Amino acid sequence: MASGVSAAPGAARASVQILRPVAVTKTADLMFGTVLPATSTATVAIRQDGVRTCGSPLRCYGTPSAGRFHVVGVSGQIVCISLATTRVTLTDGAAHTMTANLSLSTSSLALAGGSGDFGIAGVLSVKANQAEGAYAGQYVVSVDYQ
Amino acid sequence: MTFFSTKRLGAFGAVLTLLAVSPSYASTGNGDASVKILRAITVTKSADLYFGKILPSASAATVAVAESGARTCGAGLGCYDTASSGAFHVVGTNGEVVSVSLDSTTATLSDGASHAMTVDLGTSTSSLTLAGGAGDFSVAGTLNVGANQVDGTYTGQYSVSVNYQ
Repeated sequence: MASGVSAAPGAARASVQILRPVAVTKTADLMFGTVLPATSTATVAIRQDGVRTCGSPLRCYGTPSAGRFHVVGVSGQIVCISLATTRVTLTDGAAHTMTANLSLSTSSLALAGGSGDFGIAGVLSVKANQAEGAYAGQYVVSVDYQ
Repeated sequence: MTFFSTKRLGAFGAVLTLLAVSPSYASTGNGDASVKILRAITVTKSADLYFGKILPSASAATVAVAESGARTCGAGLGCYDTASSGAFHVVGTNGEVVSVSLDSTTATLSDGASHAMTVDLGTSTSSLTLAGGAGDFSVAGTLNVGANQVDGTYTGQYSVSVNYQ
């Protein structure tokens, strides 16, 4: 056979990228601060940069902060970020509740240098004559490679 | 009258002469000599075999990419990005059938830092008719991901051979 003459070889590459698990660490809680309620409902909003807007006629005190998370993964990869639910309930442990609507600063993040950060903004709905107390709740963010 | 007879005889004689000469003619037959000249085959890679991005687990598992490009992500693994099967384009003589084979059914992927994984390769194409002078075939692969496989970009090479039959 003239196989050496008529045969043609073809070469190709096979490749894969192995990733490292993503680690997500909370670096700041979403804090609405101290709020004096009123006789009508109103909202307190915290922006991604932590700036608070105190709805009239509420009074706001203390130092607010936006929620913040630090993500560590494979350098250069893009991760997608999601909130399990955009609505969280805060309770005082004694049957009183408030709800807060959450929003992400970004839905995807490029891990330049292997890490990145994102924030959570929130809008708290304060009821009329909301019972006094310390209200807390939890929310969950998910981060995954794309 | 006599003249006329002589002419007829003469004509008859001439016919006899032709019959006598006939056996000495050479006999001829036509034979064909032919050849088909083939064009050299060229094989061009049209797609790399890409398993995507894999998040390993604490146990070994596999990631399979079918010839269609569909990926099956082994239990415990996370698979990301769009995988693709290997693909080759063959150009040769129109209508000819060529054989296709993998030079090796395994390939080793390395991260260039002493970490490696093996890939089992396969193709369902063993021959290909070059309709219109060209044809295509794909290569599937199954990647063996180790337990806690070290992160990084792993690459390797494999080759195929295509030949006229």
